[in-house]
Amino acid sequence: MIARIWFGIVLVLASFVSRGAAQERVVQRHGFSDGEGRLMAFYSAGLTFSPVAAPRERARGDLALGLELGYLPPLSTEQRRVGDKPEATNLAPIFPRPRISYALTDRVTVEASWIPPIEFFDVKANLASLALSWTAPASGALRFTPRLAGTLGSIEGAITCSEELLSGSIDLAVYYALVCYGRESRDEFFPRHILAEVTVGWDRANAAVEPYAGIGARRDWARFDIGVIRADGSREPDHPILELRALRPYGVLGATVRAAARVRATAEMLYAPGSILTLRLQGTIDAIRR
Amino acid sequence: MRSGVRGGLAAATLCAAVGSCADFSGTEDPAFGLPDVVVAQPSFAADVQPILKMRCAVGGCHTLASEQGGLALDATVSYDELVGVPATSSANAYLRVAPGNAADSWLIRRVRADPALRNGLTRMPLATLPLTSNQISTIVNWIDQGAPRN
Repeated sequence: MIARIWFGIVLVLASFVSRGAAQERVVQRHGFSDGEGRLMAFYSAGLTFSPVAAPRERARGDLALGLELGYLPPLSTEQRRVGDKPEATNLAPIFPRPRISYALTDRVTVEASWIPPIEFFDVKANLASLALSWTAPASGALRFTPRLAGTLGSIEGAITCSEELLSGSIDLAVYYALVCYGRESRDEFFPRHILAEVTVGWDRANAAVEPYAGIGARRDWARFDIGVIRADGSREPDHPILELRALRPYGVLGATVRAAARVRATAEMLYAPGSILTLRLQGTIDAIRR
Repeated sequence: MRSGVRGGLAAATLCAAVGSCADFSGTEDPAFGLPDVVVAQPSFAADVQPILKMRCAVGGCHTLASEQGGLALDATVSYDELVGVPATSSANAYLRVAPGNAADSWLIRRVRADPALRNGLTRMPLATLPLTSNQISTIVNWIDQGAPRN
């Protein structure tokens, strides 16, 4: 009897081991210089959790709520062609990002953001960002703010195998039928980066417009999991997981305007060389102001 | 805020939105990182298999796991699956690789531009850039020299 139980346990364990082996995926590392790396870096840079607000002094306990709208410019067929066919990455041209910031002290502010997993355009994101900044005392007319931030999460969409392929050439239609099993893929992009930046604002009391600029660096470990779905509904393990390893610079230039006593609006240009030049807008309301 | 300042900022924002773009161009390499030269006396292992690996034995296609069309081109099996083996998709009973006869080898017919050579079937590799003419010539040379296992 005991021997049978042990035999059963061994069988169960063996089934887990063999399942794990069958689902083992190859992780392909990519640098910024190759096509896959550039494409991942483009989207990772587009999601950079930059301040989208001029640095300012706040009182401990101040709480602000904001909504950021970021723009992701569409990519050409050539830019989306990495490895073989063009990938269907032009899914969501804008992404809304709710933000909250809280002044831990008069100089230290924590910011957080979460994009909940709600399908928007043809993608479902579940992204969280966190930042910690320290506003230095004004130095003449300038105010420096060093800031550390990070972003983690996933974005799901049909990128490798999209029904768009059926409206392309016969090659693409055959690819969709054979390699894609006639189904849209469930690919997942996992942005994973930390960034360090310094922002400098022009400090003027009660100014209607507060310009600012900043530079920073982003350390990226983004991943792209190719999610081709087989006829039986399982994930095709024959495709690799792509991983970006890169350290990239970026810069921001923006201005915050006071629209009402507690409401501010910011427009910010973000430039990540070799990746993206784009616009972000944020509306912020001071929920608690001491 | 004065309406002039507000209008100026709105105009600047609009210009910025219009100016948004990706800061990179496509990096298409027709040779896929391989040397794009004709090898006159090719070795299967050193000159032919790297082309098969890079262009055919990729995820979802002719890997051991996917084996589309019943053909895997992984280094461990590709020679045995190619040389002297009848092509499953050829109505004319071509061999995948007919030693000494590249013109009648289904592998060469499927990668060439002329649809008549492949009975109207899609050109390989599927949905991507074709092999370069130098890569095709290298494989042709290897087949015409008897497709040795070298």
